[in-house]
Amino acid sequence: MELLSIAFAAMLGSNIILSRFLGICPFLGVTKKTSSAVGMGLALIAVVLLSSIIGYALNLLLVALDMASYLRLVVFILVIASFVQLLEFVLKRFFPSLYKALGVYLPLITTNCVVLQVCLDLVARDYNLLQTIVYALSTSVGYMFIIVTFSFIRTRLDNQQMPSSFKGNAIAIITAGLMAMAFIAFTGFKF
Amino acid sequence: MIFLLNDVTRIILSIVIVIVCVFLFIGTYLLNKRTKAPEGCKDPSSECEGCAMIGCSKHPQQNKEKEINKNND
Repeated sequence: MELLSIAFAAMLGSNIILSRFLGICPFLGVTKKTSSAVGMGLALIAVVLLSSIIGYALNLLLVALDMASYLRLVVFILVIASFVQLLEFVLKRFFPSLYKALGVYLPLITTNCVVLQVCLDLVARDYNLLQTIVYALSTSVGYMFIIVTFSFIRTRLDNQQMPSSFKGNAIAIITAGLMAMAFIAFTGFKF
Repeated sequence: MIFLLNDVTRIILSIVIVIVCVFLFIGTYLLNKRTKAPEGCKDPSSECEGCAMIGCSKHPQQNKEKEINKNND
């Protein structure tokens, strides 16, 4: 039940975009097309899940050395950046079809603060390995769910008539605000 | 056993971890850079029209900045 609560909160109740306003750049940048949003979401799921597991292991090592508070951030950033490069290499070499679909979005993940925040959350909340996997997976799936949903909304917004001052990112941010208010309804659920 | 190490050893081990991470990044970066993209894949920067992430290396704004820097030199 605890794992279910973690997953539900990470996906909907405390969604990392709508309740904490992290990862807003790709949220506004890649949601003009649904296919871009799906590609970015899938790439982010892979990077968040694997970098958080590696980050969890490295954090244990740093805690044992009593150096975690000094070096944690540097090590996490290096691990994430390395992992993005490694994933891009593996996709180029062994999964060319997947690289075609995700290739453009992989470099963008290095600058996505969601990945780093998930790693820092794991430390702050003192999760074990299983909780780490559930939290990382559900946060990234929640991120993908929101950007894909938002891309559907933006596609429809493009066909609507509105004052010119509202066009583009202005109406997108207003819509995101309304979505955030709607998602407040999911907070407080416990299993 | 790791708790029994003295301060100097712990600091050296920590520095080694950071150096390993730096070299891991350099290694993966070079590995990725030297690997050619599969056939049929276009260069992402050629088709990118630019989005809100102007810090991205594929953003057209980056090419403009490079040209300005070259002209200044």
